[in-house]
Amino acid sequence: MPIIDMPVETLLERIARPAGGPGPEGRDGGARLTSDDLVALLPKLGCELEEVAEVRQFVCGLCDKSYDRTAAQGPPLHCAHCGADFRARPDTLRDLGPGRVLRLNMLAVRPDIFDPGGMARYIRGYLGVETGLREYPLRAARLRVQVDPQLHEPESLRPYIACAVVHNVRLDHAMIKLVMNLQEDLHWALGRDRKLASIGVYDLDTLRGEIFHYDAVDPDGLRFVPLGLDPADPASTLTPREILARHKTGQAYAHLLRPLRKYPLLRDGAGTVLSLPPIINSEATRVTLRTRNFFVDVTGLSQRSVDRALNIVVTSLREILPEVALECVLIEQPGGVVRITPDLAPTELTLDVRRAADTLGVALNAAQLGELLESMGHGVEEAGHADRLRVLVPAYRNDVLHPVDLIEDAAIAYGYDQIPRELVPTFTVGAPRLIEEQSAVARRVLTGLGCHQIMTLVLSSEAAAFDRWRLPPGQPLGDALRARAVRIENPISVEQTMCRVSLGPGLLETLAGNKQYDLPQQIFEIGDVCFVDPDAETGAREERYAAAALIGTHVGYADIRAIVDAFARELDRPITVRPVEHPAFIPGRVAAIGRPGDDWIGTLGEVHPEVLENYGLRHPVALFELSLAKLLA
Amino acid sequence: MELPQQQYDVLRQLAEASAPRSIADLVAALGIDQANVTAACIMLQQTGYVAIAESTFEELRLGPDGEPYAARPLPERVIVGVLRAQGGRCRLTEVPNHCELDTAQVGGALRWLTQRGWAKKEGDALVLGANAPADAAALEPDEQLIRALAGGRVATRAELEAEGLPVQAALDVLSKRKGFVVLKERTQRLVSLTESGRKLLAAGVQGRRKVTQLTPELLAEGGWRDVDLQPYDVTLAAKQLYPGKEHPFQRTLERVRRVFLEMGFEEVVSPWVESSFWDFDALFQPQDHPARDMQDTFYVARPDRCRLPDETYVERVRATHENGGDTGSVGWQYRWSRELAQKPVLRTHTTATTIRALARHSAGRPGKYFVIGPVFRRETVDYKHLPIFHQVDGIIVDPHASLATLIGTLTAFYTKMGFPKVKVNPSFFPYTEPSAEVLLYLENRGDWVEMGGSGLFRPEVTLPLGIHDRVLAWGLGLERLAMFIHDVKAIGELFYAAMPWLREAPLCRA
Repeated sequence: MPIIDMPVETLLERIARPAGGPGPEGRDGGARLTSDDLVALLPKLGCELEEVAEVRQFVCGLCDKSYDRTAAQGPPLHCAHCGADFRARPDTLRDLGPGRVLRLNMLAVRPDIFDPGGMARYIRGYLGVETGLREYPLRAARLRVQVDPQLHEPESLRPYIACAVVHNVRLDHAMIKLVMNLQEDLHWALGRDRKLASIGVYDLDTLRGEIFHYDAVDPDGLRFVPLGLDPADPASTLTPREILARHKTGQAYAHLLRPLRKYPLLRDGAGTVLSLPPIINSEATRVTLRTRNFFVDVTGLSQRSVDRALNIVVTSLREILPEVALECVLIEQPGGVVRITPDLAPTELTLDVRRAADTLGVALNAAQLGELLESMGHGVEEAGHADRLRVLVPAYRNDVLHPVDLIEDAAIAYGYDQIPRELVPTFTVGAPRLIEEQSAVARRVLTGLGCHQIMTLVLSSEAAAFDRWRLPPGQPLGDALRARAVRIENPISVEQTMCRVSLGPGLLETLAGNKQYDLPQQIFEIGDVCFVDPDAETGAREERYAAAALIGTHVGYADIRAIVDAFARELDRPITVRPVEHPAFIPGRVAAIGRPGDDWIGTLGEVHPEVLENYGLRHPVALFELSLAKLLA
Repeated sequence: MELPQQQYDVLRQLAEASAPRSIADLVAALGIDQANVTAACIMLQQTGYVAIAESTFEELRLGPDGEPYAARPLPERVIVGVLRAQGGRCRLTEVPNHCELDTAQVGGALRWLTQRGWAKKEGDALVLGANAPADAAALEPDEQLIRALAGGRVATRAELEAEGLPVQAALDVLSKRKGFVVLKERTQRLVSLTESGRKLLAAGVQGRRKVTQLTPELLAEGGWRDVDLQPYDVTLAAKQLYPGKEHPFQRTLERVRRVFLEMGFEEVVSPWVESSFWDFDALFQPQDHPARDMQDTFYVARPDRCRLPDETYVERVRATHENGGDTGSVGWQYRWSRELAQKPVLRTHTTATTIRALARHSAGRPGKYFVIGPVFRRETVDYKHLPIFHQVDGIIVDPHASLATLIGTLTAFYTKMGFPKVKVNPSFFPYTEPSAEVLLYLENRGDWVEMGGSGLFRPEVTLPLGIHDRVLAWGLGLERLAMFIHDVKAIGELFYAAMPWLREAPLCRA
């Protein structure tokens, strides 16, 4: 879950903007909120606010990427967008002074509220300033993009593209930052880190011709200057393959193109490269403070993600910059299919009013429900039936898959804090699991015998489970157990590479961690161990174990034997005890605990001095461990 | 009038002897500990029945170098004997030939022979002197003293003088001979009866025994009637005792368990090693969802593949992911992979357990299920995070399931746990709709704290299982709750426990 930084002043200003669209025709004032109001409001809208942070704003002199950094973070070291190294070239980093941002902990589900434009739209609806479906006028398409059929082939796969033109933008550093942040947040939330969808924004006035080309090209076949490199330097002109190898952003995303034989490339009518999706744009088409018109593209592996990402970008831009005009682009797909993007037509869903009211547990009629949905930005029409609503879901919403998603919107609009608290009236009978009840009795026995329960982590390692216990590879007892251990494919530390197969290591580790305290110490653990089991549905299963360890100057076999006997007696399960050999114990002071039909369900004895040494223990230890499940069976 | 037995005994002893008695005397006479006698004397002195006078005296005994000569003559006297036998003169080098002294001992004795005037050196010969003793039995004072202290005897100067020994003359000589005699200055307490002590005895005072331990003998023979049981300082603390205890976290888990059982829930379980299918796919989490990344989830290398449940259900789940199937959803619009669904993971939440319970549940009937157990996330360890933590997940299948009954149920649960202030905020979780984040108000922090997620299962989750009732679901973290209850600052303290905490954490807190 990433943190989204949203500039407080920009958001407040957008919320306060007069309703009724851009320009002087807006009459009603928006809502005048303070940042404290936002702090109180955001959690009710499902936005988790981490903090309101004081930041310093920096901007990259090469690509105009902006950064908000807290005092603790300090200035950025290199540009995440174009890769410029600010340590090597300090003059490229400019300090724009202080600002305030909301740090929001956002889930990926609502990328339409990741920027101040979309967030202001959401809040204005909730507050009733501007409700119902927002209209975004679209001008007819002037530009066309021809899609190379090879992009649908597995060897050069990135088949989908959607584009738009945005006229009349006015930029300052803050605005460029918003546009870039919007792109990055969408890359994460919708694009799965540029895989499903990646976005490019270009200065339209650097582009020539009306027919653009989205092609699959030879990675070594042509050269261009990627964003952030100096066009005056001949070494800046690189092939796509060189970009993946040498450019910082290229290296970061190389894994997305490396498996392909041909790389996707977007060019204008004159052959100028716009970008090598999803890696990097060209320097020649870069957006600057002087840019007045945008060309926007989204390419990717998922048609749905590509379309939604474009819809969010253009509608949010229009929310942030009300004076912009949106223009469509024709996409000529292979096989003669032509699409017009962006497609901002709402999705139509039918909502059952009763069902919505029952789901919330609140009595609501169609009119009330319609009002709630309108305040969340949906269009609502009567469905020709008193119990149904026809809901028009805006094209920027990526999360509405099912009518039930509208019920959540209604709940947020209604206010979670207004929902009554009730219990289901249905009678049911509580039913504990037997092994849990039995484990509670087993714990009572061991605490009654003066032992303290410990709880240790259920992940372990081969070193902890076998090597320290004198069970090296090749030792038959150890090998049998090793073969039954569940192994983690991607462990996060060397200490946790498998599920535990024994409680012994946890006991000795705990004793080792408590060497400085009074002796004797008596501890036990009752918990699950986990074994590979081909008969189990998932290939492994847990088994409830019990184990206890005693440490002290005069501790010996007789002490642990007494505990084992008491344990078995109190649980009313007669056991057998017979001598065995076990490398982890002192020879002649170790025994197998058995039950009728299984003569080895556990072990008790005095721990071998070498094992004690492995744990750094300086006093004798006696312990027992057994399968509680088998004892109780 | 009665006195404690030992004080009475001391008085009697003093009355029998006319002279003051030393403490050592009294100890020997009464046959009890010196500490008890001293204590009795001091008590008697405080009440004025005895006087204690302190005097110093000198005590003598042989040192290690003097010890050998208690039984045999000093070397100089041996040499005098040799000289007499040799006619009053002998070559110095030949002296050892005539006695058991070696050359070194002969050399050492020269000084004393000269000083006593018993012999003198003339050239290489030793010649008998004028003062040489004629009678071998007539001992010098120092020799007498050495003999008197034979056998490790320790004696006072006064005693030795009383025996007629010329102690001072002996010491004058021996003080120059290091290690022959040890002289120590000592203090002696002499106890004497006072006038009031004498009167007390005359008045017929009786002794009464004081005992600390009431013994079986005292009880059996009724002897307890004749003794005083020593009073104690009852304000003194005794040693610390700790009963064997369940782990504090276990007690919290048990309390959570009991609360759900009280609320009519059935306890369920599922394996730690879980198929991606039950952990993610059954919960409508798309196969490219970030939560399924190797970054966040532990994948299992052995076993390397899980079986999938019955084909009809798997097929419905596939369709739901791809296009919504017959759930009324548009689905995630991608190609669902059976292989990815079979990949085993360490379960990332106990919702894998409750969704399995829902799959076993007979449709159309109400049901409540809960599970408490460990879950696994690929988290870097810090004071708040471990790669393993415990959750309680619960579901309610019921025609009355609603956001209202969800919030009501969570409030009832936390109220029973001792946290009556419960709040929910909207949130966006992948498999519930509506979704609600659960917060508790902590009085001691004065703040709301997140405890977990909840919601109503999406139709994409319930309909493929044939469940048409709405289903309430929640997954709540338990370590955090236990840390508040037991006032633990770092999560690691629960699992790498220190003995003092295990011993001391009060049992009443759960």
